[in-house]
Amino acid sequence: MNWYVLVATLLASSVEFVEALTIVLAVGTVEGWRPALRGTSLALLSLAVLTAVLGVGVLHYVPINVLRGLIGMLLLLFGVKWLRKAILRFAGKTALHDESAAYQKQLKQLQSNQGNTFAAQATAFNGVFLEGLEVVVIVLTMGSAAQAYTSAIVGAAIGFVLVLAAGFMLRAPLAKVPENVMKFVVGTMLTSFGSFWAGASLGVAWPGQDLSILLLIAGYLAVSGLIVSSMKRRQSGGKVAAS
Amino acid sequence: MKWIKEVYDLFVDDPKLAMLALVALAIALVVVHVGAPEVAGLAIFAVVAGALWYTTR
Repeated sequence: MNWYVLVATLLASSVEFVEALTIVLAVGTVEGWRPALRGTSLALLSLAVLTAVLGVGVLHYVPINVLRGLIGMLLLLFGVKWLRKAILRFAGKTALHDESAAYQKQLKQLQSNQGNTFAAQATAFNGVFLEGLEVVVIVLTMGSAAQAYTSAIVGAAIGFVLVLAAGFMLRAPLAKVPENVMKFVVGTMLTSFGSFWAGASLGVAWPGQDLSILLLIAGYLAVSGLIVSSMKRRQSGGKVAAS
Repeated sequence: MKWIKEVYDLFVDDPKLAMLALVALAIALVVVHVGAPEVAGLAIFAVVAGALWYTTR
């Protein structure tokens, strides 16, 4: 079992599952569970087909070093995107993601269109498909680059079960999940894995091999923390100067 | 064509940051070819960290 991959896919997929669950809960509350579950099932089926086609196709036809380079690059892009958003949120430049607010917004949109079960089903489908697509990207990239498909799938499956169980018990949006902190951690992990695998495929000699991943995670966390604190200092400095 | 935009959005929300991340990899490739593969990783880390600072400042 590759624990790095398992933890990264568990955290990353949980964040996406929480967001998908919020949309499905909103659809279920407004239009009933039948269109919500139909949309969800169709999205899951489409994702399964996509994963099978992409996974099998990629593994059979692309050499592992090329695959690692490509995947490392995609993970790096994916990771810095998440990390930048997390930095801006923690520095107070953009609002923290609020699952309750997202749920209320979704409810309002659905209520304005109430009675249209097709639209409700399409909303559930879109939500689950788009959030699920990110999970597929994470599982496929992490699984194939580290050649640890089992760890990646187990991580995502644990995330799915945990989020589903919590959603089923609460029947409410999972506002208490520390989603913003998780996104920060996941952004750091994806950026680190991306740097490591893309670098390795280019011929970078990482000191201590896999141990470098931990160094990269620590380094990116430290840099992000420094950026957040310097942005906060600048903002409070600006406020003092203005007053 | 909408799906191309969806895929692009999956990986990029700040084109400058994405471009700088790719530049980091290009620099690492040059450093490896110059004959210093053991410092190329540091180059990736430094450029990506700098890009994060630059695009969030």
